[in-house]
Amino acid sequence: MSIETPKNWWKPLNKEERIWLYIVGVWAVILTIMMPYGHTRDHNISNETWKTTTKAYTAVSKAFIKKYKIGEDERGVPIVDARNIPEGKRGADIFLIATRAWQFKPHFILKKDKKYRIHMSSDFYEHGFSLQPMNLNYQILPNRDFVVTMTPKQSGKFMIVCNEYCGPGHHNMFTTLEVKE
Amino acid sequence: MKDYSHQFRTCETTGLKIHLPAQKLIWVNAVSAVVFLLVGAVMAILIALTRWPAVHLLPQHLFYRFITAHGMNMLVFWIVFFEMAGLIFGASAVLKTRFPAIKFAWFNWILMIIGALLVNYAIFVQGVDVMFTAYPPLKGTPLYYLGIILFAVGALFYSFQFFFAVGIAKKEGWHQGTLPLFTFGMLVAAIIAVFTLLEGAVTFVPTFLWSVGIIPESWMLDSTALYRMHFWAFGHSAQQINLAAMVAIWYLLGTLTVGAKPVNQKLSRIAFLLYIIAINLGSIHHLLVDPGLTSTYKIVNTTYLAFAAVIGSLIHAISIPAAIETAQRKKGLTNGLFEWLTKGPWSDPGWSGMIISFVIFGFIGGVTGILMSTEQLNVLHHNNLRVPGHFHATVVGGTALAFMAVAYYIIPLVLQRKLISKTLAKIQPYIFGLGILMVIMGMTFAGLMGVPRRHWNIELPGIFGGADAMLAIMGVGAIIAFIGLLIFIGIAVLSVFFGEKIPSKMEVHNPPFPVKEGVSDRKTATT
Repeated sequence: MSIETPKNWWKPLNKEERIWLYIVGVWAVILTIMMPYGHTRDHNISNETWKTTTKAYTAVSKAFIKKYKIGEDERGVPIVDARNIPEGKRGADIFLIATRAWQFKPHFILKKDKKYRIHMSSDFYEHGFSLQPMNLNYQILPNRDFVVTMTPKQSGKFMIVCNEYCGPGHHNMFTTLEVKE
Repeated sequence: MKDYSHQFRTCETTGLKIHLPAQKLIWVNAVSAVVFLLVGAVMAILIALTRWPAVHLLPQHLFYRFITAHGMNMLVFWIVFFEMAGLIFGASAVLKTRFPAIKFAWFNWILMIIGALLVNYAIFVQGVDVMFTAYPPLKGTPLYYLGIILFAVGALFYSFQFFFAVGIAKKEGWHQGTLPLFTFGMLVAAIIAVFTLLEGAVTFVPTFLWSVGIIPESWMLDSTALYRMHFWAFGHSAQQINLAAMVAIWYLLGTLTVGAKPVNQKLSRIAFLLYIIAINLGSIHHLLVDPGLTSTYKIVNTTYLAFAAVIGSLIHAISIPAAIETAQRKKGLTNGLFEWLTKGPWSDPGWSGMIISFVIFGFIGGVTGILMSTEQLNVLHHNNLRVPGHFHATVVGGTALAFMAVAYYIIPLVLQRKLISKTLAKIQPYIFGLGILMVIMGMTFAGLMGVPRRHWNIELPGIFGGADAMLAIMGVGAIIAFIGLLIFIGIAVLSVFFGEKIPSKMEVHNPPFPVKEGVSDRKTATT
């Protein structure tokens, strides 16, 4: 009974229980190996984060948009052509900002097969970076510059959607990421 | 020692001695739980019908406000009030002992009820819509944070009182030897609760001070990552309290429905211990795609430590069915591999609720949980609808359904009222189980397609059209589950207030292992 304790309850396990524990043990070992294995295969998400301030990041993002802006899309979001940004050794730096007025800026045009370092941060609230339809999701925090390195392998139109609740305008937060040849 | 021998009645079904002042406490906590369940259920159906694109019921500000209310009322108030009833039951009736400090227990209940009412006042009247997570710089009103703190303090005091009650039972000779397995499970829940609630204080006291203007906003803005860590040490550990309590209740239901005895109590108890040792550290899986933490840190916390707790769950996954199977086979249900299961008492809501919650929790909740807490896979899950899909399998299909199943026993045995409708009670677990299963599946598959959680209108980005069918399944499931919930709430509330009274059999009950005068008194012993 689960409401009474039998007298000699400290007793050895029976055969079925032992077999089950072995199965469970083997399974746990396999799962435990999987993650460090993924680690060696470079399947981890980015570990690169820089401390910043909302003010400094906003300024960087503004300068970036001003430098590479080629127009505005139908929702009034500045379009940035990042196809010709110098790539450097580690990839071309591009900056995404999630703003307090529930907007992602800018609308990106990227070049296929070029390596990019996408910086993401917020000017106030926490936000989510959800790249669709790949379904890749990252957390965006204020005062932290999170850098994710990506190389687009496929051309077309993708969406970045906010998936962390950030206030009543949350559902208006999305921007476009175009990949061209 | 004061004479408590006339405060007991004997339960004729189980032989438990029930301390009458404790019975009142169980009553008040269980009834409070069901009241908040009703509030949460109304919120649930409204937000589910909003997320079903064909219906899209609520305006945006109400949608976000009602999710906040749904999260707090369901995940915190309904479950914790019910667990407090479970703690009191485990430390009094099951040990056949008195529950000490009755007035203090009432004071704790008052703290909790004031806290819960303040939070609901803040949400509905002051318009707080910060979600259950309340990540700063999203700001609630001071009353919102104050309510959470008061509620948590009440629950923390109850946990301490549980330890105290177990100690008194030993000291005054009401109980001797090893704790019964159910009480042991509740003890594990209470220990995890202490850690959880202290983390709650670390999270919400600074947030409260910020909301009244003592801590500057720039500090909160700089501590968002730290807040997330402490919040989840509170928020996810709170689910481990539910887990331990739910498993303890599964063992109890096995005993109550078919007289199951755990095959090997040593194994079951070790499994419970693994929960205490390992499970809270696994809470870091909420931060797997956060900036600032290294992969090594995430991997260590989510593999080696979380899997130790998963082993605990897998042990219960064999020992509970084994106990039930053994008990059933002893009754002569020995044909084939599964006669013990197919010929179980399927018209007993305690049994059907237990089996359904077992299946939903283990096969769906557990499996999706392991997937999500894998470091490299989390990036495919984080903050999309798959996450609510997972925790509706664990907390709703698992914990809440197990609590409902045990309520069908608590109402007659502890609260002394006959169920007003056995027919409705018989079908309720099936209706609710089916509905919540559809909700879980709809959410999980919509999440696979990338649909974000907590989102008022996914039509806007124009890329989630394919998920409409899944969200419709979720919506229909929510309606069915809501009907199931209303049946439960109706039966519980009407039975408790208007059900036929079951007369109590008063019996003089004295400590069966009386302590000899003077021996426990240190002064006398030394002189």
